[in-house]
Amino acid sequence: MNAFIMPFLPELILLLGGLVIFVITLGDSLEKRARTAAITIALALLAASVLCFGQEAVLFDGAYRIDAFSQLLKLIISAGFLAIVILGGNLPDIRPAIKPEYHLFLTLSMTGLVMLVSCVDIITLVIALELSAFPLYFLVAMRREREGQRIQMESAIKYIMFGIAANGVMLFGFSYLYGLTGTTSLPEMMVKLQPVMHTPIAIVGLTLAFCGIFYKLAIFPFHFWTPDVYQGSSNETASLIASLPKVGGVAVLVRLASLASPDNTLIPILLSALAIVSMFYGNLIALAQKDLKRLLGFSGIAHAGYALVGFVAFNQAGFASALYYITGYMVMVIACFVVICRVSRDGSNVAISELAGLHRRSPLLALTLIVGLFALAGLPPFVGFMGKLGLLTTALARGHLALVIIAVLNAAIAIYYYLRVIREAVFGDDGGDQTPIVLDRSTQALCVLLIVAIIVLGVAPSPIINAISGSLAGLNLPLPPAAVY
Amino acid sequence: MKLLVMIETLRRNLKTVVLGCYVVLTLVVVADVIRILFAHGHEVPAGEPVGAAEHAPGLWMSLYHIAESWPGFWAGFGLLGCLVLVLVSKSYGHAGVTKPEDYYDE
Amino acid sequence: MNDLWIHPSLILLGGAFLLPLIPKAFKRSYLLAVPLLVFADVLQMLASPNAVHGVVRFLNWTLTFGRVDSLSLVFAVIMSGMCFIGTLYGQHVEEDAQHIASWAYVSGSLGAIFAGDLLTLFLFWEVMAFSSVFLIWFRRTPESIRAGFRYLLVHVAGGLLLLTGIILWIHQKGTNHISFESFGAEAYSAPGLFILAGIILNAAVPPLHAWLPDAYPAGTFNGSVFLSAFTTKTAVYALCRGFAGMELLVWLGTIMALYGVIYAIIENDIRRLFAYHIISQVGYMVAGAGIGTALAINGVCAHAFAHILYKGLLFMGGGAVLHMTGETRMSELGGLYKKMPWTFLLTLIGGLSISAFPLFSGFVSKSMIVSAAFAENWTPAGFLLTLAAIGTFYCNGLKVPYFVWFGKDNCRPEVRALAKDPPWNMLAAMGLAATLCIFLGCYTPALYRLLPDQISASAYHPYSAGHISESLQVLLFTALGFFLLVKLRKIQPHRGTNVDLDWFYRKVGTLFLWLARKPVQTLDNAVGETYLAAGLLPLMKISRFSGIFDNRVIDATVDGIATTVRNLGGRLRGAQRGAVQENLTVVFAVTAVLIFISLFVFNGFAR
Repeated sequence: MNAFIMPFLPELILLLGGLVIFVITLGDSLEKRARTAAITIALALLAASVLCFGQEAVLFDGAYRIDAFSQLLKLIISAGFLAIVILGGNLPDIRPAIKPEYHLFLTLSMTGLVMLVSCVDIITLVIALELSAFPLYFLVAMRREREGQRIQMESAIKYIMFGIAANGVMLFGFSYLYGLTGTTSLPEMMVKLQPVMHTPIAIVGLTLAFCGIFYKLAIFPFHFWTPDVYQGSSNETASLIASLPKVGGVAVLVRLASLASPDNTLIPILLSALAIVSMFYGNLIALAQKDLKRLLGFSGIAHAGYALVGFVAFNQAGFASALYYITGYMVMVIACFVVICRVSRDGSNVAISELAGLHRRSPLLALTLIVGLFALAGLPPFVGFMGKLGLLTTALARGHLALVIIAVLNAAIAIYYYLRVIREAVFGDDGGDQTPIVLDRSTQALCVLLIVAIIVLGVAPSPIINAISGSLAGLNLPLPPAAVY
Repeated sequence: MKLLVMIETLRRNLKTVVLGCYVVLTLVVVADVIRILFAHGHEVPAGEPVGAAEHAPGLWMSLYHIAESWPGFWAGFGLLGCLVLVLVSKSYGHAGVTKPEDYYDE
Repeated sequence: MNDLWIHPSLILLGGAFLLPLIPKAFKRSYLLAVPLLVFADVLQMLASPNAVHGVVRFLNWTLTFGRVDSLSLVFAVIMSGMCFIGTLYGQHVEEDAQHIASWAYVSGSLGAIFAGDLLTLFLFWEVMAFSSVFLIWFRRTPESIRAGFRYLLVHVAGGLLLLTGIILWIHQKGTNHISFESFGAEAYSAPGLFILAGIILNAAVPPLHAWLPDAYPAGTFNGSVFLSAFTTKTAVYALCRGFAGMELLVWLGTIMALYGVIYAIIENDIRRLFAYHIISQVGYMVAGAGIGTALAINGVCAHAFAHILYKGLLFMGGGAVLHMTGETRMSELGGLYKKMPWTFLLTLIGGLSISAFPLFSGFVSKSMIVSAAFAENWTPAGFLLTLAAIGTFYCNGLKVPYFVWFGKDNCRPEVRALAKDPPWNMLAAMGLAATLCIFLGCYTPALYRLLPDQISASAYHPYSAGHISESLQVLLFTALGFFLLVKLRKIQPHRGTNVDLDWFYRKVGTLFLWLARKPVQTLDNAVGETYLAAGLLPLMKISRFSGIFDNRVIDATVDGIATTVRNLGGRLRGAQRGAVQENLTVVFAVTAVLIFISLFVFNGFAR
């Protein structure tokens, strides 16, 4: 029994936690308690992930694998989860009556994400994807209806429609792959797919399967929901959607991409085309934005494009740098969203001009914003720079010179709009609200931790890159024969 | 304040100062004449051409030798150079480069 | 390898990091202590030159943070020294962030100087660009905010050129060949030219120079002192290191020296005038790097050394006038010697130094480059550089002192009321720089012993009769010409803006904006109208239209090329209007096309 519980502990904690919060939702006005429960769950999840680090097991008839890869990502995701719960605060922009439910769906979505990285079977994969996505649709719609503001409903519906469409495409692709190989298990599929990988149907199947993940990552042309959903959802929901699902998405993409052999020439071409369009599209439109969340939404499209550059290299080094980059991106974007959540008055959206005078209102927030944006812009010594450097060098090592130069060009365009935000925050015309922003202890700690993480990950990337590369080595190994509990 | 007093004194005796300046100018040229006429043997100037590379057409080289051997060459160079530079710059400015101060303000 | 080696940038960055935590009572002494520590750190390196420190294995690369040799040391000594002078000058500024920005800027410069490989060079290069822009922004006038942004854009482009060059270089040579050495014959290869372009942009070589006179006069009174010293000289160092002996540079440098002088002569704002003289003086150094002989490289180092001091001194003088009176246009100044006598005297010393007057520092350094030009048969360059020296003296030694401190008093009453000598720390910093200018000019070994090539440095004697006679003739007769022109009333300063190549990114961008905005806006509106009229989807009715469309108005704060690029963004945004069915159609269409193409390409491969 212990052999089952230990590796499965993080998931169990989340499920249990979901149950606890469900019970809490049954009572009246228990927002505080729900939040405490959520934080406790997040802490417990983090502890469990640390505890289970290095576990190896295969569960559920080989549909679910605990390995170095999954455990590492669970650790990253649980850290992100904790940050999200803390930055949510007391959810100023969620309808008061359903605040406990917000925490419930948040926890459920996390359950889906944590399971997602362990799935090695198409069926479980799809279930985990849906489990992580559906609660998010609700979270978007849960935003308070302020005067005349119904944009959250529109966003939620848009989000659902796109999600369903992308899922349909993905399932269609999976059906091809299943038809070709006769199995739903990814490791088996990899073996059986190799001889037929050159057939059009295999390539179409894999490409379509990618599409579902592209939707999560907001890669062009699956990005249309992003800015609207960022803008329409409450700040804390947007910070969740912007960060964690992308880590999960890249993880699944790594699993799917390794189905094709490294010498495949076609898929890299496809991926680089999508990467280029995403980068240009996201960066150019971001230039014209005034709403900070919308700006981050468009820049997120560009960043997904950068991450895809790692996949273009199509080898382990490339996957590792993509994972490293997306991990860094998670930290950077959360740092920016902390600022949005705290600057925002009663949870409304933050225009860039509202940041004026931030360095006086709250120096810590200003510092967090500057570090976060500098990192997103890819300036040394922050993690964004190291991440981009890693991606570019792996792509360069495979000879994708043109792609690398385009990516560099895009990084330069991006600097412009990030710096515009910083300029506003530090040198803006501070005629507006000048009341100091008071931060509670947990937010202060979160800000400091994020800044430290952004710098440490950038200055000393070797440990995490080595850990990622190491974990990738065991990816998609054939399942041990007696892998049934 | 000593410095101020000094400047004021010089300004009050402007005529003398100007005269002094002319004397200095003359002396500088005279000194140069003496230096070149009485140079024993061949004084190696700071920049005697020694390099193997040939970057200059002959005209420039002969100009260089004139500069080295004609007393007062550099005085003329200074005066003419100054006038020409200012003239060229000013006409360049008047040719449309100098705009009103609010040129870039929309 | 000496493990005790501490990177001076690290001290500066650490010091900057701790600055906000220092109690107010100690702050002013702390501000002096950190740069002094850095200076001492660099000085102790002189004891053991030619060492390599701070070699770090990082991912696949071997990075070298501390290449200490005679070339890097001479730049490091003067830069760390200038950091002290600059900090002393702005010591009374109470905003911590300004000091942090300037220290980060200096640390970027020192880091680039000690960088032993291209990646480290690039890293510090960017640190320099991004910290220096704050020195401009901190002035907080709308014009300086805009100028800062233009400055940043140009430097991002420059960094991009450099990075592209480095990427191409690594691509060509492999990851193990990233050390930053002379490019030799490969200077003319594609990677070499990209790297060169990145560097000469920072050195402000025309036509890549327009950012300098645009941005430097827009900086804070003390920020410009820092700006004047570091960016261009770091680039000069990189040229000496990587491109010494590249003939192209001789021509570029000579043109640059004259170009700067011509613009300086017609300039009215003293800080802009000084900025143009940076271009002119750096022109000497670029030409020297191009000549590339031991004497020329010595000359470049010596001139950079002297230049940092006297240019800092001049900018301090200009900054003092700005700081006290708020005015820097010569047409609005005059007769200030009564109010600011010490500022006058010290600025005059700077002016005489830059003009290479005997006994001042420029005399012992500039002549080295000119001599090297004549010695290598670069005769035209030699003459043209001497011509530029005339313009230098004309502006710095004559025009500025005459029209700011003497001449007709054109001051507005409030300017005249405010004018007086600046606080003691500013005067002390200027005094220190002035003393050093004279000291270097009088006691040549002080400077010459630091130079990279000791053999040619010890053989060079600036105080020969011929050289003194030549210099005095040129300078004094320039003065004669100046007073002639004053008598003829030919050179009264006038208000005005001189159009330089920044026109392109200031004016053309605006024009483009006007052209592009109209059609795009009209189209965008038309589409919106159609959408409304057609009844839309129920979805769109529920949504508040404004929520989607209110982001259209383009923020007009930033002009120029930025707006041009952004306009493209605005154009693209038309695709992002938020109609679900439309977007989904696009999704499916693109997917289908991608699959179709992939199959087509695939078939191509199969055959």
